[in-house]
This record gives sequence, structure tokens and C-alpha cells, in this order.
Amino acid sequence: MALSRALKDKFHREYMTFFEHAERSRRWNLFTDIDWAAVKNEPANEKLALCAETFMGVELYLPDYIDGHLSLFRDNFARAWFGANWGYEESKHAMTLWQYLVKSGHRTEEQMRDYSDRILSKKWQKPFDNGRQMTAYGCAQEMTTFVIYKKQQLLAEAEGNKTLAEAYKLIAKDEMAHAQYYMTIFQHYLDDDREGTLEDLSAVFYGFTMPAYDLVPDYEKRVEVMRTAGIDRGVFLTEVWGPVLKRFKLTRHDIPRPKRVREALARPSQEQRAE
Amino acid sequence: MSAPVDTISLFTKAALEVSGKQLSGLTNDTVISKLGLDSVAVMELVSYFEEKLEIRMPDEDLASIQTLGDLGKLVNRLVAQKAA
Repeated sequence: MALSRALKDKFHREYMTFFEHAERSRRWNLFTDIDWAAVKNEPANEKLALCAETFMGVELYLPDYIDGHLSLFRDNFARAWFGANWGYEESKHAMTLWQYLVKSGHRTEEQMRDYSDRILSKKWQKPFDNGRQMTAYGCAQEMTTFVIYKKQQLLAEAEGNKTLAEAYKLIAKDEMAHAQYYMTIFQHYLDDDREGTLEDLSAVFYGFTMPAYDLVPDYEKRVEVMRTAGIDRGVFLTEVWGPVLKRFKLTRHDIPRPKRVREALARPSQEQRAE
Repeated sequence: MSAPVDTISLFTKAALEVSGKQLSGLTNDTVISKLGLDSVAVMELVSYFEEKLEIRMPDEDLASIQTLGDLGKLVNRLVAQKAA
């Protein structure tokens, strides 16, 4: 999908605003902004550790996420540079959770290296093929990670794991900034071509799954734990898509019906075919 | 007053026609998340219901639905409201 010059200019301005804000007020240092020394005095909590390990595993597919992003946006300065900056920030998230797992004594360095080898032996494929759909996907995916990390932060605080809570707080702040950026870009797409953009939003809304969870080792065991961490369909509708759609002044009912539903309703039902 | 919607039949039909999934033995106590439908498929079925019955299910209400009985209550409340 070729972008108009006007749209490219808007994206350029948005990236400069995003990047300036990140540089001036959002950057944090994994080595100095988290009190790692305190982690040894905090209670062991295998459930929190398993969640952290799972989220870190998802973050470890970073090479594929960047590859997928750049395959769509390599020729656009603003989108490509966002991808590079995003990659830096996400790489820090994975390293932060890695540090937590080792410094807290829940995992050894060797276990983490084995885990990362297992993760990287599989490849994530991007779920949508056009830039507008992947931007909508970015809105929901970043908002989901924000909600997940925020819930983990509160859970860690409640369980007396202040270091992990602090780490999640920093990570969640980045995820929200990413979600806001994607939503700003998507709003420009909507203003540019409302009908086509809503069709793309429908494809993503009705086709969305979180990246790479099914690739992470021992997925079934992990998903059970994550359910207990408060991530379910209801949360997804009200806390992820709710704010995203609200930002665009939309409700779910403004999004075109999913393609499979339109097709099912358009063809004769089984009973009609039998008559 | 409109006749109540047979939610279980409609759900079975929707699952087959939209997801190609043959479901049987459903009751009002059937928990939707245990049917082997992923969250995407569930949202598609919700959309099918809305289009077929010309209703709009609020997301806040959808969030609390666990069983087919819960779905039936919501659907029939909305259909009755539409008819009133």
C-alpha cells in the first residue's frame, strides 16, 4: 500500500514528537533505575516468576517482530525508525525480566540461556500483511501488554515483590507510549481513508491473538497461570479494545462485521440447502 | 411480545456456519470457554447473533457472560427491548 506524501509527513511529525518525548522524559536505565539489591530480601513467588518468564519469552521473539515491521515499513523513515526505537525498548524489557529471574534466584543464568535458545529456535510470523492492519494490531497488542504488565505490577506489589513491581511499572510506561503512538498513526489512516481503514480494523479486531504465546515452551501450563493473573476475554474487550476504540470515537458496532460472518449470512443455511 | 430466541440452537448453527465447528449436547449450563472455541471465534459468533437478531450486545455485558444460559438471558432481554 503506497503512502501519500501528506500521510508520510504526518507520520514523520508523529515520530519526531514520540522520539523527543522518549528522549526527554521516558528513558530509564535497567542497571541503575531498579534496586536489584533489594530483590534478595523479597519472598520467592513461583507464580509471579512463571508469568515473568512467559512474558520475557514473548518479548524474546524480538528479531521476528522487527523483521516483520521492517518488511512493511523499511522504505518509510518515520515508521522504520519507530521500529528501531521500539526494538531497543522492547529488548530492554526482555533483559529486565531476565535480570529479575536470575537476581531473585528463581532461575539460573544457564536456565535462562537454555530458555532463550528454545525460544529463538522457533520463528514468529506476522499475522497481517498490510501496514494499516499491522498498525491496528500494534494498537491492540501494545495496549494488551500494558494491561498485562500493569496487572502484574499490582500483583507483585500485593505479594511484597517491590523490585518486580518497579520493573513492571517502567515497562508498562513504555508499552503505553507505544500504544499511544500506534493509535495516533492509526487515527491518521482513519482520517485518510475511513472505509478502508475500518475494514482493516475489523480484520484485526476479529482476528487478533497475542503474539507468540503459542510458541513459548510449555504454553498450556503457562496459560493457566496467566488466566489466574486476570487476563480473559472480558478484560480483553473492556480494558484493551475498549480504550483503543474509544480513542477513535468508535464502538465495536462501528466496525464492519467479520468477513466469515458476512459470508455465513450471505449463503443459504444448511436447512435452506436441504429444502 | 416476541417469542424467546432459542439461543442454544442458534449458537449451534452459528458455530457450524461461521467456524465450521459441529457442537452437540449444549445446555444452558455449558460454559462457553470450554467449547474449544478461541476468543476470536466467540467474538465472531457474537457478531453473527447481532446481525441475525438485529441487536447490539454491550461489551460490558459480554464481558460477564460465562454460560450459554447467560448468553440466552442477554439476547432475550435485548430482543424484548427491541420489540417493546
